Formats: sequence, C-alpha cells, structure tokens
Amino acid sequence: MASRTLQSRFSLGRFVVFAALAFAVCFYGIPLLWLFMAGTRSEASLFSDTPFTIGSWAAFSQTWTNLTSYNNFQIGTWAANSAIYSVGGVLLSLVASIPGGYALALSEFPGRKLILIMTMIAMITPSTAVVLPIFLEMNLLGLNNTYAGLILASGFFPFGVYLAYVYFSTSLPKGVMDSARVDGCNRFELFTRIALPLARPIVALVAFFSFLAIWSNYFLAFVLLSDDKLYNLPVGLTALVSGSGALSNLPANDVPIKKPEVILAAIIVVLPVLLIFIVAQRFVRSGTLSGAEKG
Amino acid sequence: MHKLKTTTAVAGGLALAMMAGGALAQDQVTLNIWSDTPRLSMFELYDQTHDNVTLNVTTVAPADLIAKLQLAMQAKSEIPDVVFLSDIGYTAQLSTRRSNYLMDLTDKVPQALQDEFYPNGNSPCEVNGKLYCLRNDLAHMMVWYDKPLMEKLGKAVPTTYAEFEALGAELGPEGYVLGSAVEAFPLYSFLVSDGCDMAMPVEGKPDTLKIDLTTDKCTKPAAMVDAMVANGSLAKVGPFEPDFVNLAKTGKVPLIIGPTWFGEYVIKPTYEWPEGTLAAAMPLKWDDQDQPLTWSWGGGTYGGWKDTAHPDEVVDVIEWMATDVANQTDAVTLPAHEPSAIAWGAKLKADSYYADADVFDVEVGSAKYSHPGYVSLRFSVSDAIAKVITQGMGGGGTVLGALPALQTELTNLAKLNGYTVE
Amino acid sequence: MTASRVKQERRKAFLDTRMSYLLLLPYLLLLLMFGLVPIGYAFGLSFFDTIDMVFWGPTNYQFVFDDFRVPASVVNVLTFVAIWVSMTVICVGALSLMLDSVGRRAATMLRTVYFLPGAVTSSAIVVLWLFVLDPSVSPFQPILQMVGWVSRADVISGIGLAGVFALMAYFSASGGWIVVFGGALASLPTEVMEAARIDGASRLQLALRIKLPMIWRSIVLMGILSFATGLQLFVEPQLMGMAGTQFAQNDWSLNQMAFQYAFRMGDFGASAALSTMLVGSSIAIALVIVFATNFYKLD
Repeated sequence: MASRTLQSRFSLGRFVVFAALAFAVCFYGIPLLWLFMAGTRSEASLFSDTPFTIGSWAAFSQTWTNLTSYNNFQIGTWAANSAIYSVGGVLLSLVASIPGGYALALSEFPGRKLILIMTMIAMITPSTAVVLPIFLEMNLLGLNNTYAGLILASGFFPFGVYLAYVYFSTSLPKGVMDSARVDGCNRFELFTRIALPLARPIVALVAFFSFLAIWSNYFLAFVLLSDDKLYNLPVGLTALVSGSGALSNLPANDVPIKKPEVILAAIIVVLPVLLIFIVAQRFVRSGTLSGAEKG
Repeated sequence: MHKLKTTTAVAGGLALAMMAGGALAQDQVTLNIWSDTPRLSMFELYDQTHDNVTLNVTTVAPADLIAKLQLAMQAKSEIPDVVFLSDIGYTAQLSTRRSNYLMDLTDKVPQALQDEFYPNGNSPCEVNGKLYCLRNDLAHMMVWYDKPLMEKLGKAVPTTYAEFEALGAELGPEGYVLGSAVEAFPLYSFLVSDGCDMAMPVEGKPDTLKIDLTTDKCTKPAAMVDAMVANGSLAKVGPFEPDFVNLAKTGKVPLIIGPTWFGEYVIKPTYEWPEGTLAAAMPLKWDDQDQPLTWSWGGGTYGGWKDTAHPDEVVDVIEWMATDVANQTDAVTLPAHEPSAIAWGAKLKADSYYADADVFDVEVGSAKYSHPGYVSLRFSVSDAIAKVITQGMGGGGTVLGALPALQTELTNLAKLNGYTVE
Repeated sequence: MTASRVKQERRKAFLDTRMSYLLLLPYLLLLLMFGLVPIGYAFGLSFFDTIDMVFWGPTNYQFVFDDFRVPASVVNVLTFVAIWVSMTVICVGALSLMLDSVGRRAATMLRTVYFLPGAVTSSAIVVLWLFVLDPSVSPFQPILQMVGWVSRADVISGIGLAGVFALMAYFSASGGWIVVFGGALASLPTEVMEAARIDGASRLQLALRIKLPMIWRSIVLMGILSFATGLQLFVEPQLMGMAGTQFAQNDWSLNQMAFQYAFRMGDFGASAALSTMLVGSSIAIALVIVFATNFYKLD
C-alpha cells in the first residue's frame, strides 16, 4: 500500500518536474529562438507575419550588408576591440583572482577579514557610484581612450576572487598541503606546485564569468571610451542603434539601420558567448560554487 | 574617430596660397566635431570645401551626447568645438551653471542671417533671450492624408479640430484610425494646440514658466482626445508599433497628424503607402483661433563650445552647416533656413510619390504657424506626459483626468530644475 | 590549527603574511584603484559643490531628499526587489533541484538553455523585449492574447512596470545562478544521497529533505545578493527609454536618478550623495552576509 502510494506520487512528481522544466525551456528558449529566426526577416515581415516565420536569404543578406557597410565595416573594428578587451581583461582578472583567492583561503593573516569584507562590498557596489571617479582617475593617468585603461578597469573582478576563495577553501587537499609544507615548500611554491594544477576548473569558471562580464560590459566602456575607433561591440552597437533611431522611432534619416539590423547586431553580440559557454560548460559545471555549503 | 581624408583639401589650400602671390599658407585649424550619423556627410562637405579648417569628426549617439559632454567637461579634455544637438532640450541643459558648455551666439551670428530662418525656427535655440545654437531642420506638425482613400470615403480633409473630431466620430466606429493618442509627442501637440500653458516660457522673465492646465485651452483638447480614443479613432498604440503599422498598411489610416518628416521617413518606408496616395494639408486650428498653432516633433540644432580656441571658425562651421544652401539642399529633413529650404524643396516637388505637388508648399507654408512655446527646457515635458498620462491610459485612465497629476508633475519638475513657476 | 602554528612560529608567520600579500598584490592594487579610491572619492564629492569645489556639508543630501521623485523611486525599487528576489529564490531553487533529479546529460542541456539569455545584453535586450511584450508580434502571442492583452501598453500595465523589469532581470540573471547551483548540488556528498535512496526516499523527499537543507545557505546568499543588486536597478528601466518616448522611464529607479543628476544636470555632488546612500545600503547588506554566514571563517 505504502509503496504503491509512493509509486504513484513518484510518477506524478516526475510529470510535474518535466512539465516545469519544459515550461522553463519555453520561457528561456523561445525568445532566443525567436531572436535567431528574426535575424533572417525583413522589417515588414517582423511586423506582419506570425512570430515564428523564417525569413529569406535575400532579407538576411540585405540586413548583413546594411549592418556591415556602416562606416566601412566599423562593426568589424568593434568586434576586434571587444576581443582585445576580453582577452586582456580575462587574463588580468585571472592573475588577480586566482592567487588572491588562494591566499585568502589558505590561512589567517592580519587584514584578511577586511579584504574579504571589502571584496563583498565591491561585488555589490552600484556601477553608477564609481564610474565617474574611475573616469577621473583614468583621465589623471592618461588612460582614457586606451585599450590598457579599459582592460585594467575590467580586470577588477571581485566576484572572481570570491569564487576562487570559496573554491580553494573547500577543495585544497589539506593533507597534501601540510606534507608539502613540511617538505619546506613556501606558500608560493605550494601555490604553483599544488594549488595551480588543481585550479583548472576554477580558472575556467572565473575566466568564463569574467569573459561574460567584460564582453557585455556597456557602462564602463561607455564612460572610458569616447573615440568610436576604440568602442567595444555593446557600446558601438548601442550608439549605432540609438543614432539611427531604429528603436526610438525618430527615423528621420537615411541610415539603413532598422529593426532587422538591430536584431542581427544583437545576435552578433550573443553568438560568441553562446559558443564559449558550450565549450566551457564542462568546467563551469564541475567548478561552480561547490564550496558554498561550508561552515 | 572619423578622421577625414584631408590630402586633397591641403593640396588645394597650398595651390590657393601660391596663387595669392607666395603668401604664407593659412594656419591650419583643427576642430573637434561631435555629429550624429545623418549629419556626417554634411560635416565632410565642410571639411572638403574649407581649406584652412580640418574637422575631426566623432560620431556620438544622440542619446549619449549630454552624458559624453559632461564627462569631457569633467576631464577637461577632448571637449568638442562644435556639436550637433538632436534634442531641442539639450540647448537649455547645456547652458546652466552646472553644465556650462554652449557658446552665446547672440552677437556672433549676424541678425540678417538670423532673419533668414522661418518664424520661431530658432526659438528652441533661445534661452532667456540669448541665442545658443542654430536650428538645422524644422519638424512642425501638419496633416498627412491618403487622398484616394479620403475620396473613396467621401470625406473632406478637416481644417479645424472640430471637423477632425467629427471625422473621427464618423470613421472611428467603422474601424478607421486618425492617429495615436499614446505616443508622447502627438499627444503633446494636441494638448498645446489651443495655447494651453503647459510649461510655457513667460516673456521677459528669465527662467520662468507658466504651468496652468486647468483652463479651457487645455481641457478642450484633452476632452477631444478622450472622445476620439473612446470611439476608436485615436489608437491606443504608438504610430510605430506593429499594430498601428499594420492598420496603416491595410488602408485603415486615412489621415494622420504628423511632423514634416513623417511623409518621407514614416509613411513612405514604414506604412508603405503606394505611389500617388500621400497628400498633405495645413495644420488644424480651433474655432476660437484665427490661425493654427502647431507644435513640433524634433528638429536638431548646432551649437559650439564657449571656451573653444577658435571661436571664429566654430561660428563659421555652425553658420555653414545650418545655412549653406548647397549643403542643405541634400539634407535629409526640411531646413529651418528659408533659402536652403527652397532649394531643398525642388526634390520634393519633383517627387512623383506624392499625390499632390504641393506637399512642399504645405510644409513651408505652415512653418509660420509654429508654436513660439516650442523652446528648450531643462526637463522633458514629453517624458512627464509619457509617465503621467500614457501609463494611466493603459489602465483605462483619461487624458482629462490626468491633467491635474500632470500639472503637479510639471510644477515639481520645473522647480527642481530651477524655474520659477507662475 | 593554522592559528596555533602562527603563534608558534612568529618568523614563519611573518613570511607567510608577506607571501599572502604578495599573492594578493595584483588584486589589492585593482581593489584600491577601482574599489576603494572611487568609493572614497564619491563619498568626498557628496559634500562639495562640484562647480566651485566649495565644501557645503549636507546640502547635496538635502537636495536629494527634497527631490519629489525620490519617494516614488524608493517605492518602485522596493516593489521591484520584492518581486524579483522572490521570483529568483523560488524559481532558481525549484529549477535547480528539479534539474538535479533528471539525467545528467539532459540537465546539462537544459542548463545551457536556461543560461543563454544571460548572454543577451544592452541594445539586444531592448529589441528583444520590445517584441516579446507586444502581443501582435510576440513569440508568446498565444499566451498574451489568452489573457486578453491586445497592445504593449496593456501588457505593461497588466504586469506592472515593476513586474516587467523583474521579468527582464530574471530572464537574464537567473540562468547563471542555475548553473552555479548545478555545480553546488553535483558536489553534494553522494553517500548521503545513496543512503537516503536505499531508505526508500522518493526524489521529492530527497530534494526537499536532504538537498534543500544542504544548499539552503547558498539560496539565502543568492537572495541577499539579489536584494543588494536589485536596489541598484538601472539597466532595465533605462533601456526601456530606447524603445520610444512613450516608454521613457528616466527616473523610475534610484540609480537612474543618480545617473540623471550626474549626466543630465551635471550635478555630480547630488549624484555622489545619492550613490553614497546606495553604497551605504550595499555595505550594510554586505556586512550582514559576511557576519551571518561566517564568510571569512576558515574550516
């Protein structure tokens, strides 16, 4: 009797689970599916046809031409810039957060608590509050409108330190560390010989999240870059979209940037993240917040 | 940054200098320009035709302009010498103590040249009696209509708001729509069409606004909009939203009140009215008015930096951009400078797309009815309308019912921004 | 354990501390440049008139408190936060537990789908939601029409602005958390699960009685972090304005007001004052997290 109840509850439960998961797939997936299909449609089709219409090759290539011919393929420059900022920023954030998180996780030392508290504060500080001071600081250093400036600013990724700290404080094998210490390794050697080889998942995880943050960074890039040759994709495309009036509906110009171009531009920004996510997914899964349950 | 190729210009300049009998080549002046995309080609033309000046043009998204300028002024570097201001509000916002950017052009632009602009054409450039910019293009509202459709329906094109409302009452129930009631600017233009004191400057009193939405001049248009929304002749969707566009494409919009750029940039490309259907008529007036009073929707301006190292060249660029006939002939929208506008209009007159050849005549003919209250303010009335009225209408509220709340909002906004409210 | 050794070997402790700081050096430099200095600078700025650089005490704060829009923004933001945080906690928690109960391969695929919206940013968000919220073109057309909404205005007033922004924020931010929780759940000790399963626990019981208590702290942490970031709401209402004047919401949230003060009015002092108050609330929340979870404690 008892087992039968369990059995039926079990299958009802399965049904609820699958239904809920399927519903969530629709919620998250349908808009994206729509977005990708919309990239192939003309403006007229977007407005009049049913939502899930596949457009035509002609419409797509027209949209592509309109988008890429803007200012002699400026969008290519922006994509290249985005790649530079991302690679530089990700490397810097790794250099800062992996050893940092390791040092914080390894042992107590004076000032450690303060650093952790400040990290937590930095994680949730609003960007508008600090963006102007950062701008003035970079201006003082002559780093506004430079690759180095934005890379430096985006290399500051407190969330990465937090992730590394949590990771190291739970997954470093204490026994191995202790015996290595007895063998006379100092902390730095411990870090390079034992922690780093173990750190691959967390390196991948931090790299992934910082890439995501930097690739889509709008506000900081908007403030630090005024030269449109140095724009990253989000700033460049937003400028393009707002400049053409494609969304704000003040279309009194001949710029051939309309809603299909905006959608295609959106896809161009989304696509690399998507690909990297699929590649990085193995690491991201294995290395995530696994240690948050401590204490 | 959009650095122009200057090789040919420099070579030309050298040639000229040598012809002048071996005189020294003129000093090269480089000006930093912030432009939007449509104005790029015009700045390029200036660069090509002026040997002594090199323009260093950066494209700045219109919505970002103020923020970018504030940053540049804070950093005290890379401040542009000339900017294109896409929003008329920017003039007031850039001539305050806190963001004191714009050069006073009152005595720098000759009065004779100022007089060549259409009446009230430069009022968005005047703040407390001083001229801070020159207007690029006009954007006053007029009547656009589908000529064959109106004929088929057997209706005359209205000339007054009473006729407009009556037309709506007849056509609305039949599924026809005469415009939108929710987009802020069309709604704004209805509300001020009878001279409603909706944040209007007071003559002779600096930084003073009159805000009184309780008068007949305000309640009458508001009631008209409410009635037309109720009978369906004014849509509760914006004129660029898919639903409205589909109505316009399928012959359900016989007539719409829109700005001068509506024909070329909305009806033709988006509503896709076929050739030979689109015609234009003068703005509407109320029965108690002798002549129409028409609001505007857009119209950019050119301004300069007050601390520029090259004030003369800056003024020259601004004047040339706004008033050079050869330049403005190919401008995208109706020039505010009358001689330029006339040259510009030839193209429109020859355009077989329009049902009548008089579209351009209507555009310039109605320019003199432009509302003198279409000025630059430090806060956005249209945003307040969107916030107070449009949002309420989604939940079934009326325009008339929202006027007191709008009055409070505008009064608060005006005071917050340092205006005296009457 | 470590602490006692520190006492015993003072010289070694000194070396250890020095080494720790060496390892932390790059991060500390960045923290100084992009964390402490900017926050300190903004704090200082909030007491100055930024044009003549005159100290004028609490005048900027007074200006913010006198702004008639501030109380409305406070209500807006709190409403948004309430909706968003409860959505995040309930849905992310439930979905994570459900994902953990299905096959590994399927779960990975689903997680990818849930995560992908996080990649949609800036102008892409606007264009996407412009269409999603419009019943005549929305990919969710059938649902919206079923509810009886015919125009975008109906949808927005039907869901409410706070709800719309919460949906937008949830759509892009929740996937990342689901991925994070996927990892957390996968690393739970398998022995406990096995034991419970042998005892005849159903998957539901397993999820609610065993897994949920084990990740409960993380869920609370997520809730508090979401609360803190929610207070800083900026992007969603700000981007709405890109969709046209009738949707402009330039002063909906507090952070937008801070932006307006600085970048519209050029009043960087007032902006700094409002930001300082926002940062203050963030700091308070950060301290709550740090001390309530013993975040700094080593095992």
